[in-house]
Amino acid sequence: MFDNLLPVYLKELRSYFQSRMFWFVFAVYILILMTAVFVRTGFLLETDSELTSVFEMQINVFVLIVPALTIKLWADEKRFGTMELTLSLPVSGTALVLGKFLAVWSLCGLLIISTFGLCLTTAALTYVDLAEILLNYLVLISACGSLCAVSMAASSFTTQPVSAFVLSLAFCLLVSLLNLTIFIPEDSLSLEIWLRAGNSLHFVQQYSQLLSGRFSMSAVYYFVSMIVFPLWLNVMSVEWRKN
Amino acid sequence: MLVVKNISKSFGTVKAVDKVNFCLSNGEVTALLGPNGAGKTTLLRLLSGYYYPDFGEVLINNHNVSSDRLQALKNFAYVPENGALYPEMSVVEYIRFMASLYQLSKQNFEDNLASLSRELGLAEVINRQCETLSKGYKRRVALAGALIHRPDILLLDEPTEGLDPNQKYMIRDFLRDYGRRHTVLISTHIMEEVEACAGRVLLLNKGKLICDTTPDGLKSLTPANDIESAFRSMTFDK
Repeated sequence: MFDNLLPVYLKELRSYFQSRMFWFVFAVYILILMTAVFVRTGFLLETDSELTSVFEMQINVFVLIVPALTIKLWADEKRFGTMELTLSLPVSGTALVLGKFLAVWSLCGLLIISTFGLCLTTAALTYVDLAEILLNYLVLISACGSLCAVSMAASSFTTQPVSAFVLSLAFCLLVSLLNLTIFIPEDSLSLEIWLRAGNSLHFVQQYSQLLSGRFSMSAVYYFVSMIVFPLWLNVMSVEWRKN
Repeated sequence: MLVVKNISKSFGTVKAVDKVNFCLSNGEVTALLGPNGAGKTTLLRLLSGYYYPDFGEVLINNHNVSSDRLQALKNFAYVPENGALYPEMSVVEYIRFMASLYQLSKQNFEDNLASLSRELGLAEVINRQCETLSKGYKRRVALAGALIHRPDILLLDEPTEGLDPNQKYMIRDFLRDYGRRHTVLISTHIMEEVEACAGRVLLLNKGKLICDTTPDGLKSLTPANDIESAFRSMTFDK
C-alpha cells in the first residue's frame, strides 16, 4: 500500500523548491507574520513579550497560505497534463496522496521552523519556557497538517487552479471558523451539551486549548481525524477518477 | 504476457470499450488501429490501470491490473498520448524519478540511462528542464522514462503524433528493435506506422475489436490490397 511513497514525496518536495510559487508564499508568510507580530501586537515593545500571541496568529496566516501551496498538488497535474502519467505509475492511490500530503506538510513545517528566530530573540530578552515553546510548535505543526489535508482534499475535486484555490480557501476558512455554538438557541434546555458538541468541532477552540497547555485527548483525536478523514476522501477521489 | 479478458468500459450511455478480448506475447509489435473515437485511448488506459474496467479483467504477467496493481505494473510501461512530463524537472531528474519507482540500482540506472540516451539521442538535453524541450524531445524523454527499467510490456498511445519525419523514423526504428525481445503495443491511426513497425494489427471500431490479424492479412481483405482501403472499408460509417 505504501510502496513508492518515498519517491513521490521526494519528487513533490523537490518540485516545490523549484517552483517560484513556494518562494513567493514563503516571502508572503514572513511578511504577513512579521507585520502582524510587530505592528499589531507590539511584540518586543511590551515589557513581557508573549510568544502565545505569535502562535495564535500563525494559524490564521496558514489558513490563507496553505490553499496557495496545495493548489499545485492536483490542479498543476491537470494543467500540465501529467495526471494520466501520474495515475498510471506503479503507485497506489494511498501512497500517492500520502506522498503529496507529506511534502506540503513538510514545507509548512519548514515555514514554521523559520520563525524560530523570534523565540531566540525573546529568550535573549526575557524568560521563556522552552518546553512550552516546543509544545506550541508541535501543536501548530499538527494544526497545519489538518489544514493541508482539508485543502488538498478540496482541491482534488476540481480541475481549474483558480477554483482549486478558492475551494481550498473556502474549506480552510470554514474549518477554522466553524463554531456551531452560535447556532445554539439561548433558551435551550440542553445548552451545555450543545456547547460541548459545538466546541469540540471548533478548530480554533481546539487549537487554543492545546496552545494554552490544556492537553486533552479529544483535541488530539480532533486533529488526527481532521488529517485522516480528508486524506481518505482524497484517496477516494483518486479511485473515483479511475472508475 | 498481456491478457485482456472480455473488458468493457462505459461513460454514461456511451460504450467506449465493448467486450474486448486479446492476448499479446513477447517478441511482437502490435498496432492498435482505429478511427478517432474508436476507443483506442480508453483501451490503453484500461490496460495501464488508469481506468478500472466495468467488466472483465486485464492480466499482466498473471497479475490483475485492478486488484494487484503494483505487481502487475512492475514490468510494464505506458506512455500516454500527450507525452506529458513534469515541467519543473530536468530530463535526468525525470528519468531518475521513474527509475526510483522500480527500485533500480544505481549501476543499472546509469547503464540504462547511457544506452537510452544514445539510442534516443538525448545526450544534448539530458540536463535541460523538461518544460523547455521541443515536442520531439518531450516524446523521446517520455519514452526513455518509460523504458528505464526495461519493461517486458510497453504501451504507447500515438507515439509519433506531431513529430517530423526524421523523429518518426527514429522512434519507429527503435520500437521495431525493442519489440524483437519485448511486447509492444502502439495505438495509432497512421497506416504508414502499421506497415513500418507492426507484425500484428488489432482493429477497433466503436469500442469493439473487429479484426485481429497481420498487416498482410488486413491488406488482403480488399481488392486494392492496401491497409488504408481495408481500414476504410471496415470502419467507414455511412
